[in-house]
Amino acid sequence: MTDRPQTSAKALDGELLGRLDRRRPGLLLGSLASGALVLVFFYCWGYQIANGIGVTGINRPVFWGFYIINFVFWIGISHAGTLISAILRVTNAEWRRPVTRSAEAITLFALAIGGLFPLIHLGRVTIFYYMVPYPNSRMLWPNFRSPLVWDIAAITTYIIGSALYLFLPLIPDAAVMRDRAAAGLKKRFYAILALGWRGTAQQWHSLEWGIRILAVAIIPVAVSVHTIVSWDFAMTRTPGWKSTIFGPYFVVGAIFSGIAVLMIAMALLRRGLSLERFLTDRVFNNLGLLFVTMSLVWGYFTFAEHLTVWYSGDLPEKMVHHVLLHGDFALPFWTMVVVNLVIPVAVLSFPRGRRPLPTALVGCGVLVGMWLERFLIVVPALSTPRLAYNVGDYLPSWVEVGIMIGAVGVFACLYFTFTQLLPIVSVWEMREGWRHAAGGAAGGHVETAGAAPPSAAASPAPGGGAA
Amino acid sequence: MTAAGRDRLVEAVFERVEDVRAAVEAVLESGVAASQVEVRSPAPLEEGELPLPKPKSRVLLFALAGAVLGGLTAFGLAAGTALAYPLPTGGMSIVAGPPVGVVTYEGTALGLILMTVLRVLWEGGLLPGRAIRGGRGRPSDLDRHVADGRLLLRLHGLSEEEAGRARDLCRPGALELR
Repeated sequence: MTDRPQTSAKALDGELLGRLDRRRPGLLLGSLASGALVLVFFYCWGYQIANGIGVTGINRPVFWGFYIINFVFWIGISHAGTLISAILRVTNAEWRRPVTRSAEAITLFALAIGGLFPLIHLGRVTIFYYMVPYPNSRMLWPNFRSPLVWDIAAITTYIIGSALYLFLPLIPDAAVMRDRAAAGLKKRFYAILALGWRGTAQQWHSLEWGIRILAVAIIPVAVSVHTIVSWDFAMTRTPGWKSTIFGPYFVVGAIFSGIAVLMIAMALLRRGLSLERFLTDRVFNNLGLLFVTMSLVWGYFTFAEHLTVWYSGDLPEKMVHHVLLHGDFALPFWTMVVVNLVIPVAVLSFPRGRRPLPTALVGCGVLVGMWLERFLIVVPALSTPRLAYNVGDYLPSWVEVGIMIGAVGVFACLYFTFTQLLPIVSVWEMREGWRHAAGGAAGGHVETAGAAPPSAAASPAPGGGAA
Repeated sequence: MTAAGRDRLVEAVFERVEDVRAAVEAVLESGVAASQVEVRSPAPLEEGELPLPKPKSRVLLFALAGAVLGGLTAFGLAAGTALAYPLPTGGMSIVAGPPVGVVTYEGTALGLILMTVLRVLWEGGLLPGRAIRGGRGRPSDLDRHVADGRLLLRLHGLSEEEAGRARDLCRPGALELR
């Protein structure tokens, strides 16, 4: 935010298109590296299918382990995109334009991975369709009274909604890619995605209506998804889970972890694709402010949750509470508090802390913290005995750890591949923003509203790197 | 003049919206109907930027219809299942409000989302086999200019004489003219 260079909209447009045309060996390398982790993921899952769920560390009384922790974690991350993008669209925040596509892609891929974990947790994955409502020979339909079936309804709605919310604004950009590609397989691929888009007034008008409606509709869906995930826990009578604030607590945590991934992805994209003039310091500053706000809200909910448990004096609840704050789980608990609250507030409260590198580092810490939060919700509540003989511990097996690490690879592979194939910054939305900034005149001058170095502002095609 | 004679197409590429506006104003004054004018742009234009009637959309209406349809379907599925295969509920209602409500809520949202997208694609002529009337939406060799951030003005269904006149009127400011 040191300077605000005045740059021709035309030059910026050319620069953005130049980025699309350029080869990106870094991304290819990223795809291959993460592809190795994809193999780990499928090997471990295949091993479990072949040998049964007994290869995991899950056992009575800790019958929910890494898989459910990761399910909640990934569903939380999925709130990065669609929800944040929708809120920014609804509030008409101009700085959203370079962020939305990246955020929406995170949602779709995180959701796809999150949705896999309950299937992995089933063990006998081939019979997952028992949960799908279809009239079978034994006349058994799913029991809609179970929150687990609500999960299926909510996640299915959210994944379809998120995919379409990503796809709809992508159509004009696919048309740009189609019209700029040389004849061949690439052109055919973009032609399929573009669906015959030409940029007529009717097409733009209908598209704008569609995006507006989806942006409004997707917000309550996103909120419902993580609320329902929280009800998987809160609808039971397990101490540590039965809480009336679990719904909003989970939603806040989801948005918080979602922003963390968004900050990391944007910092990587900015550096890797030399997008400094599009993912500007202003974008990081604004998202950083949102990030620190969510950190404080998360801290407030955590405090409220633990205070009411402590104050109630209810013995089973206090036993779980004790192991969290002072017992076996004290180290992960206080680590979570430090990385989720203390560090974000200490770093992001200052403008210098809201720059790409610090926000990405804080984001990494928050991801660890939010994973620990889910671990601390699932495991201590189950491993703390309520009956004298019902004692058990939980130690994840290599299969669970392999699947967890592999899932990160699957996500990275999908994200890299997407970035390689399609514009990660929405071209038409940027163009629209430049037109607004230039007062409607194409070719006018716009403020790039960031801290691009003067040399970069003067050069028509700055950067390089792996773009 | 027969309809068969009115098959000329004039295409002009412009850099600036102001130039397109001037060209559109000129061709409309010369007697070309607004329905024969098509402007392709790289980003949505503001309302009133061009002297053309505002496109109509029924996306909202269809979205609401989709919401109702989705909600009813989900309600029927959840409540119907409970009634068709009743479980022992200990005297409580067979069709329980909260679970049916949750499923109905999600079904409503899903119906709304699906119908919105389908309608957007339908109105834009983006569904397979759904072409927009009057040759609009057909590919053009000049589409690449739109991809590069320029504007493409297309005048459809002109006679030979009208096409010649329109070309003259579009010439000022045009980067390319056909």
